[in-house]
Amino acid sequence: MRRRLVPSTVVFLLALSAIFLLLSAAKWIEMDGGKTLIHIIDIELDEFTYAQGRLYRPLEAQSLNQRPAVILMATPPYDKDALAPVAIELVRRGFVALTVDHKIEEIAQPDPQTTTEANAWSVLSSASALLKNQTFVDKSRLGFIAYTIDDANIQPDKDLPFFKSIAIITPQD
Amino acid sequence: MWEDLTTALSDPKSESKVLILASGQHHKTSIAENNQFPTILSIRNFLAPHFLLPLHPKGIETILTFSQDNLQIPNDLPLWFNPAAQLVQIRAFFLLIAYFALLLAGASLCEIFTRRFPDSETNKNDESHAFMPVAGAILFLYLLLWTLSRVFMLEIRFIGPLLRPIQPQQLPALIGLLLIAVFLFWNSSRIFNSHRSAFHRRLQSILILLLPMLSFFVIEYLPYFVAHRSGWELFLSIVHPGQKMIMHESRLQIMLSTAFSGTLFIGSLLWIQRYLIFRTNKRFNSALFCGTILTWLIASRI
Repeated sequence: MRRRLVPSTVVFLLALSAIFLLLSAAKWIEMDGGKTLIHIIDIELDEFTYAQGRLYRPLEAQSLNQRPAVILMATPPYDKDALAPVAIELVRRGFVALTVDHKIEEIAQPDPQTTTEANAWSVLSSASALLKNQTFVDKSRLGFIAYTIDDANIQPDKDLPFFKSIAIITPQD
Repeated sequence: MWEDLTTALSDPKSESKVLILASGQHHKTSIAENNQFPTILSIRNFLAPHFLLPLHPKGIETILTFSQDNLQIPNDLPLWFNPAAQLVQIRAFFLLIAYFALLLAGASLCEIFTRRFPDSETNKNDESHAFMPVAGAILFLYLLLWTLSRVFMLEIRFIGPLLRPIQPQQLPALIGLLLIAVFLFWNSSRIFNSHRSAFHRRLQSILILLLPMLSFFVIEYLPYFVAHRSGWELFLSIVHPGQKMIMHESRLQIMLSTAFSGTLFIGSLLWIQRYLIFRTNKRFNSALFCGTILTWLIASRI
């Protein structure tokens, strides 16, 4: 066995402290030094299914001081964390941001008689409805940011929400 | 396709603004011909892979300016609306260092467990005791990641996918992958087991970690000082001055991002392997530990 300069226990404790310190600093940036509230929320699609989302809300966004909101969505293989940097920068500048997952979670076994098939566009509709229900969101100023490497297979018959600002990020040619 | 989506989402009563950040010029021509969109602000090449962020800072900057122009946050907000002043890159850097610290914590724990379960006196070269320390360290890493994800609610870009549950149908493929990964790390362990001087060993340790990262950072950032643009932008302007691509740009971007992530993963695991071998002199332990981590990383991205 070779000579050890620093005991393994010390290295382990130092590494653990570094992890906590670095993650705290990262969290401090994410929360803008405590000026942002971050909630992990379930976006209800129907009575059986939901999608996960993360809501970034600046503290100054109140019912008497409503703020414009932006929905951020990335298609697979990316999840709600892919656009987190954009959401963090948006919320630092006073916007409300909601990043949503494509993955649809099931609460219970759906009843085939009553349930409708949930897809990305129903997630978008539900996320938009959820934002519009928040008292601190200015309903007339909603934005949408999408990040995808695939083509968007839109179904025209779907009842989609309208947005004042739409940004599509795609490496597609 | 994108034309359909933006049309469907645009408000027919009020004027919606549309921004498409795409790599090619296809959208520009098709949109100009159709002329069915209210407004197209810009189509730029801001999808270049950034080594710490999934989106290039200039892309974030464009989106921030676009959102501010169209959604107009109230006047009581700070007047310093500067889209270029971004902190997310520092955050990504912190998360990257945290990833290395996490690997180091796992390797230290593996070392502690290895000392707890020493080899029998009769057979010093028996490697059958390797499983327990490695399994203990991996289990601890998983619990630590789970706890951190709950405490900090953070996505750790390089290791976050580790927390995704593994499906039962993936198991046979994973066992095969584990065997291959352990074999590869077992082979590479010969490099570190050579009898060299202390100076050579330390130099080796530093170079293994720094060279893969440095090479990427030099390629991306050194051209700033020479040509006032990043390596990616310089590459595009030299190879494709007229936007005529010899290779699909999206494929090139995905390839470069994967190459960077892969180099970082392998480089960091080799560094940890070298650390374990230097401290415990157990080649199989180190190969098993690094092979399991690599399998975990790949499996979570399948």
